[in-house]
Amino acid sequence: MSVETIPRDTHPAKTGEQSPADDTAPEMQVRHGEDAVIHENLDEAYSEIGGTDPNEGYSESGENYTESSAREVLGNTRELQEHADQEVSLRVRALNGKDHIQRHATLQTARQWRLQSRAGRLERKLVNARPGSHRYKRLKSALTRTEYQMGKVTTARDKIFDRMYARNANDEARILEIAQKERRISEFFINRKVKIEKKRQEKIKDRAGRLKDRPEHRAERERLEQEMKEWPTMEKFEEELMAVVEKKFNARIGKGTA
Amino acid sequence: MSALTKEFLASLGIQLDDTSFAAFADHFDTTLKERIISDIIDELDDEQLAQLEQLKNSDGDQLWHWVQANVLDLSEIIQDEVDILLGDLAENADHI
Repeated sequence: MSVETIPRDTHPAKTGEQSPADDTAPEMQVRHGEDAVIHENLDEAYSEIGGTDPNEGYSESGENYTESSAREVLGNTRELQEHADQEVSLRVRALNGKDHIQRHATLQTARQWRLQSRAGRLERKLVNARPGSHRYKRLKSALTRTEYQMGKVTTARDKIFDRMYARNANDEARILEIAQKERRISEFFINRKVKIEKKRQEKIKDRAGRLKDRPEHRAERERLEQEMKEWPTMEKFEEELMAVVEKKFNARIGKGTA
Repeated sequence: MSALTKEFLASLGIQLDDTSFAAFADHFDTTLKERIISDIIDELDDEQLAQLEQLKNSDGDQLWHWVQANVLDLSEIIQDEVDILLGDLAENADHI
């Protein structure tokens, strides 16, 4: 795994250096004073770094008229913006007093937690949607997008931990402390993942049960029953995830003491 | 006015002048709202979507009342999307 080191004391956030945008490629620069091109440049900057546009996967293509219309109606709801602003203010205040890496670690952990929360919500909705329907496809696509983002956030968190290990490479006690922290965070997410999976399986069992007396839904019931046969036990599911974490923990410790 | 502050962005390593900051904050707010709306739409079934469409010309209070009554996870959705977007922002801080 590559180690990307940004010494805390030389990071622009600490030294007060001006505009890192000036050091980037011209097409990624935020051109001061040119409002019209700023949005475009920000989008370009996001896409330049590997498809991480904040709107990625949020295309409205394929959306039906009712959805577009609902989107327009919701766009006029002032209260939504007010609530979002309140939440942003809370986060900004909560991060005061943390150093650069702590702040990034907190944000990535929160992001991962929230992506799981979104995925859980979508999975619960998906179970009750009719396969093949427009709603089913919409939810499925949103879930796929969320799972893709979850993969990326794990990479982002790994990078932050890489920096922490690199910064403390000669301090065994600190390496152990960081590895334990990383393991705790991973375990926390595994527990949550197990809970979500449990809930998902219960919903599917429930749905399959309800379809038993409805011959018109035989195909769906058979599909669900087939899926149920392929499930690992919850213990095995958890064990496999924990084994990955343990392996990583040992590798981190080995790396620190090598 | 955006709840995002210039100081907060600087603390993530994003240094912007006033003009760029204003545009960036605006872009952030728009993106956040779009994501929240997308999530709300994912929450609604076809019947609820049709009801919402009917509220096109209703006043703000009536609309907000409907949203609160029909989107049970509204608060969670807003919190989720705020954290996800701030996380996206932090990840890309070095490139902005």
